[in-house]
Amino acid sequence: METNNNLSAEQSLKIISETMARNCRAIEKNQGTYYILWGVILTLVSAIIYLLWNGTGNPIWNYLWFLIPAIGVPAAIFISKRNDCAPKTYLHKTVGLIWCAFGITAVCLTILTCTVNPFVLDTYLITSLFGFTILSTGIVIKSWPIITSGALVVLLGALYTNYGGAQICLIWLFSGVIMTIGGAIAKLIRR
Amino acid sequence: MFRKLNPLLHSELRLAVMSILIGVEEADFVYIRKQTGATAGNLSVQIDKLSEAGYITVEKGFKGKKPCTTCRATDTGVKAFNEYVDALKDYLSLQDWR
Repeated sequence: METNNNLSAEQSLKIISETMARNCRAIEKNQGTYYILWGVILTLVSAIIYLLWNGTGNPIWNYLWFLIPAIGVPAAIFISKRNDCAPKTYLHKTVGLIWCAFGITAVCLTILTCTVNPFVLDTYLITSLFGFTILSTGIVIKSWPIITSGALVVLLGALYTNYGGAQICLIWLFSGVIMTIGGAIAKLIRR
Repeated sequence: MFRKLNPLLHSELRLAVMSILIGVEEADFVYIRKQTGATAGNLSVQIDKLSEAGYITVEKGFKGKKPCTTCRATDTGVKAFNEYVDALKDYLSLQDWR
């Protein structure tokens, strides 16, 4: 692109629309990556906890849930550094804030469960919140695979209200699978 | 009566730079260069012109050990861009009418 100052009105509009379209494609290119990352980690960790908890009957393996942020955060930072050329958008900021709100709520509920009332954090509540967060993100970024996966996770939580013990891990395992599939479809569509 | 097209924006590369920055919060110099396909020298000159007019802000810093130039559209820039697009629409509607 050169410094051409003799543009017609049509040429100017063409430059604006083509540049904006190219920009949108570049921004949306990695849209599903983070869903795939967190979905895969969630699936693997919940599968490991399920197998260990089910095999030994000891709920102490629940401490392994901390593996999710321990693996996920450095991996997400690594991916974002690889794409450090990508521009920051208002959508990225909004999505970040939505997930931040989910993180804070989940941590507060966990603390309340451990200190005040052990029944505050039930599986349905946290799964619904998780699904709702995915759903909200999908609406913000206008991605139907993400919207669908969010809605499915909310429904999944409701279906598994009668389960307990190690079976709870299965809810998270399926949530992770749904999230991964949603992310993969979103990524394929945007290519 | 037609509004005069803003001469600062009525340039291929500067218009492309503004079109990129209008849709994002901020963008890296390298990203803008890739998106426009311009040479670094030419892009740098055009970015300086937009910056001098107060249409964009340019922040030079580091990302890790790498130098990094970040550009952002200002409110003045957004307003000028919107006026430019409105003026273009006027021109095009007259052409349709003829």
